[in-house]
Amino acid sequence: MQVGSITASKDIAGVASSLRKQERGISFGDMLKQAISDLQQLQKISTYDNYLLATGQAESLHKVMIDAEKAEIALQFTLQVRNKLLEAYQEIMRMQI
Amino acid sequence: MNRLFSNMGILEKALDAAWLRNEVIAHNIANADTPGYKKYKVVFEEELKSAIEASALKGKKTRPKHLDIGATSIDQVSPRIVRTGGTQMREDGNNVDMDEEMTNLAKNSIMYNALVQKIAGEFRKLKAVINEGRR
Repeated sequence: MQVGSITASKDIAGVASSLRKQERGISFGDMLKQAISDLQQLQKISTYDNYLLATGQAESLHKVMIDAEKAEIALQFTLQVRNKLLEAYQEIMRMQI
Repeated sequence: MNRLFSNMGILEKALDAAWLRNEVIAHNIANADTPGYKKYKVVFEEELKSAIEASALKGKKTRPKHLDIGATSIDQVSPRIVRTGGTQMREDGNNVDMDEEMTNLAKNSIMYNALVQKIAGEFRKLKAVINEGRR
């Protein structure tokens, strides 16, 4: 899954600079990037499981199913995070200064 | 539009094979007492595997009449029904082993259910991505 750059929204009204430095030194952007690449990894595993299942090579059925659920839940989670981010962005846009 | 469903092609193929295998096994069981009957089986998994593995390695065609070298594309792999002669279970030439058929039937229905669940999951994911993009 290709997710376009979210980094553009980082520079809105200087919010980025306050978010960038968190307690443990991990920036919010990096965290998001990491989460999305994790999602991508899970989807790839799920696709590879499809291949194993279709060719009769899957060593255990439960592993295939668990991987599929993991991928789906990660996707749902990412979608909800994205929705929240967008909501927050729109909230800021509506603010009267 | 077809790229949307590219993940599902392989699952669809496998489901076709499982469905066909179910019919073939039913056919074999129905003919368990037919004299001279030779059982059939479905060949698919191995061919799919070799097609996927070798799809990176393809013979180049310089003339339109040239035959394909190496694997054909995954789309062209389809489950085949093969008749198994040679073996014999009983005096009348019938070679249906009931135990084997029942085992294969159980195995196949588990496989079918797993594949159905998997493809339903893929559809669910696509729908989620499409519907949740509204906000």
